[in-house]
Amino acid sequence: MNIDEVKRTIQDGNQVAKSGRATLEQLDSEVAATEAYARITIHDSQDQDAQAGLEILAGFHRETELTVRRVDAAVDHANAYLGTIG
Amino acid sequence: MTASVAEVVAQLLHVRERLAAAAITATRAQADAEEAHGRYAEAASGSDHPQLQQALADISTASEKAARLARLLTEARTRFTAYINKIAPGSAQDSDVSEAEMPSGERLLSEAERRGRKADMIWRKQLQKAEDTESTLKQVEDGGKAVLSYFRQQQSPPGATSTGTTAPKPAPAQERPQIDNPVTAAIVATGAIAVAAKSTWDHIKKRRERKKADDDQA
Repeated sequence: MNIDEVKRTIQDGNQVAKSGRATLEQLDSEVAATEAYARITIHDSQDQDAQAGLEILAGFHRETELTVRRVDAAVDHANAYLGTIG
Repeated sequence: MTASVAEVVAQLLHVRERLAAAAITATRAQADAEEAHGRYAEAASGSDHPQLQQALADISTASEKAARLARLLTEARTRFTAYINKIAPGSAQDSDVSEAEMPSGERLLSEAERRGRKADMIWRKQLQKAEDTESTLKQVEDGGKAVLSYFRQQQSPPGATSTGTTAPKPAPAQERPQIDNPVTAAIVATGAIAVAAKSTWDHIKKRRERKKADDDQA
């Protein structure tokens, strides 16, 4: 493997990571819509299971955001390395 | 069951389905992170450069987090299943998790997309390698042509090449191989790609030669 191949392999990694990021963004909006729908349906029920389910969905955006940040950090570090090797 | 309860149950069942599909989406994101990790690891082999190691650590954490997202969605789904069964016992089974509720067409499509992307990546790599070894590409091209010719022979009507004494059976003329079989189609496509790659190589070579000639003149 020469340096160009190393670069290309890292770029391929970045490309797949970005695709995963797009999937996460899509997931985030899908779950947000599902949460809204579930919330309207469940309304003010105090059932423990219903509330627990809603609570998970309420915290989901934050969890997704943290995952996206990790992907971004990975790509940033990979790009920094690409910059180093020229 | 009153009409309104039936409606609520139907809506909650819909929520379950969407959560199952979302869990699959999260798994797809995890698979992407894993694949990216594989690429970085391949490039980082033999190097402990901190930036590359950090990229590896980050994408690994992202993969774990994406797996956690899928688990959270399944957990929420289980909670809603329990709730549905309290409203209308027996309305929802908890055994038929994710896979059963994922529309198979959609899953197949996403898998096909993934495979397509991977194939594209591998192909791009091969093209880059082939730039330095024309002969290799020539072999691929010849291989592709051989495959095409093989299928032409296979697809020819039995009477067409017969030299026996029996009269050849009338058969429709076939200039091209039939490609209704998906496997045949894939192999024929491979041959076509090899030929296209050769043209690309020729084009690149001509361009280089032109550039070299210009440089020599300058």
